[in-house]
Amino acid sequence: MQFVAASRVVIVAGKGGVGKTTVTAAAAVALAQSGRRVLAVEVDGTGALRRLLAVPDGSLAPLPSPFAEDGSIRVAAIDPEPSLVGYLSERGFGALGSTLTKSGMLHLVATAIPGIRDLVVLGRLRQLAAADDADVVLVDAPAAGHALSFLRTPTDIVQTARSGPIRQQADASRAFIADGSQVTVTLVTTPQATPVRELIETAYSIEDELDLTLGPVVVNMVEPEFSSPETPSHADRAAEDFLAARIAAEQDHIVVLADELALPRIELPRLDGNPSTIDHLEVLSDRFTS
Amino acid sequence: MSIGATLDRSSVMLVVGSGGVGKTTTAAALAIKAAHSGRKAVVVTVDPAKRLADALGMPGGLTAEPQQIDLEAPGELWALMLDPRTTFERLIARESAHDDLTNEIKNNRVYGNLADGLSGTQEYLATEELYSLHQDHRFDLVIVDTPPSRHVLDIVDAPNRLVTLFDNRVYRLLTGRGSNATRLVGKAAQRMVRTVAGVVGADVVQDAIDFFNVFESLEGGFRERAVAVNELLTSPEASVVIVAGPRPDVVVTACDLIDALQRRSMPPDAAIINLLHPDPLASLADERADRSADAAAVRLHQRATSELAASQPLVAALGEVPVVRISSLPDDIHDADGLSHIVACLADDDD
Repeated sequence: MQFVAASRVVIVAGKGGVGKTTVTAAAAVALAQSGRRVLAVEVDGTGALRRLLAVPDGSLAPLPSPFAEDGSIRVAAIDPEPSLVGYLSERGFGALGSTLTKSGMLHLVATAIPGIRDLVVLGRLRQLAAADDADVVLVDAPAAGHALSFLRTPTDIVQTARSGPIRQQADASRAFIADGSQVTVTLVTTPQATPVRELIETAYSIEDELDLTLGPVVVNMVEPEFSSPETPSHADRAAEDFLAARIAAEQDHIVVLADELALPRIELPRLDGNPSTIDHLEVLSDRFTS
Repeated sequence: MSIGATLDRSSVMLVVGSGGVGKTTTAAALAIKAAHSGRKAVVVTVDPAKRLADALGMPGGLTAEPQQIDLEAPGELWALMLDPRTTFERLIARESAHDDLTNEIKNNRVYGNLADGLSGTQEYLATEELYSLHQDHRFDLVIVDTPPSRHVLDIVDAPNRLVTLFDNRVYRLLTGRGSNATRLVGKAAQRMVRTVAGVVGADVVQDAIDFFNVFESLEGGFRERAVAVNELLTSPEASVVIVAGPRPDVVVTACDLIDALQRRSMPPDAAIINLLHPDPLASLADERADRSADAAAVRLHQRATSELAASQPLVAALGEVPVVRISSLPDDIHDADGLSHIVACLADDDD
């Protein structure tokens, strides 16, 4: 399957509102159906991915999703705040971690080194990927305004911290995500003018500035074709005109994407109804395999 | 009060909501509507989307300085794009007593990180920009398209966050301003600072200390400004408009936002639900019955029905707050025609 050929760890990124979490969940279902053991990782602490894959959100540890009966989909969460404290405690700074939290120093450190939380999340992710025996690790990147900020963090921190363990951590995280045989980034967009434009710009930044490896692009919520009744009424015609205009506009934007980015593309149909059902995820997951 | 009346009585308007719901275009449409009713409106966007600039008839793009946009209206329409670095530098230049101080701050790497828009700075600077535009006599209405952030309320909390930082015990210790009592407590804290230096690197801590030391002389100005911004945002001349889309996840976020705004004494004045699909079969039960499920009219009917259901919790949470519904167009809104569609929907609401 094209989606996973490139790397064991896949970071699913995109701007808010394009359906990144749904895409991550559908990809997990697709991979499980093709016989792989998947670890899906949530990093924004919202519980959205855990909810979508029907895993209780009380725990951070990997829990099996009921959507794969053999337990081949597990969902883990990395919570940025406790991670920093946990990171310190693992390195023998346990008391420091709690003092930091209590005194508000944590806030100060975060102000002096913005992005330190993202860095700790990336560090955790690296540990998790190394320790877990899953075939594929899917990461639902944080819903930042911009897909880049999370991926850019190690590079930014390298410019701030010249020495010390944080610098080492940044170097290690940077090496981890930049190793294209280990980690690829899959960008998600919807077939609309502005999101497509932003995805193209993001893709260039990721390759040129950050030197990361891109996997296929996912175009989510593509309007499917429709059927026509034999004797269309006025209402039918109005509806068909609307959908035909939408499909034509979406195809124009997809052509722009195809012209500017030489990356494989996976198109997922727009489905009406509640995305948090296994039926819905299965329809989407079929598109990953076909 | 209709959205038109809210625009009429406001001098500042925050447009809030999660990403991907058309916040930027809605903010621009609100400014156009205000200009139509004679206001001198300026819209501040954080979104560098070139298409919005195109839609506003500014192919050269938006700049950090307000530019007037050609519009046939009794009022005026101005637009600018928030540029964190420009705003921050203006702020520091205003507060610093002399140029050396300004340069010292600008050359500090911690400042560099802050100014490049990381970690809530963008939100703080958006409120700063809002305040200075509010005092600019060229405009009588400032509409702010709030930054897309992980926590939508960062913008409202931003002025206080900086003050909280100044009040931080460790910060006071680092800048050597604690009383004797806090200095004693500070012995332990100082050990901690050394340990932190061991983790993050001594140079980072030194940079932070230098930065906050220089910044200290600006503290009074920042405090006053934070209080003034807070007062403005909670005054009757400020209004908040929530933008949402008819999707369950967006509606959950919007409801949380309403809650949080109410707790901060900034209840929303109006809500806009974007991207609602037309329902061609709303009153045609017969036609619904004998169409196949993938017929265009049936699909749109089902979509419109589920969108209505999805937005219901939001409408309930809003109570008496007026809601404007904007219908979805076949293509996403990225040009002048699309913008005028939103303006028209906003105007219909006043009738």
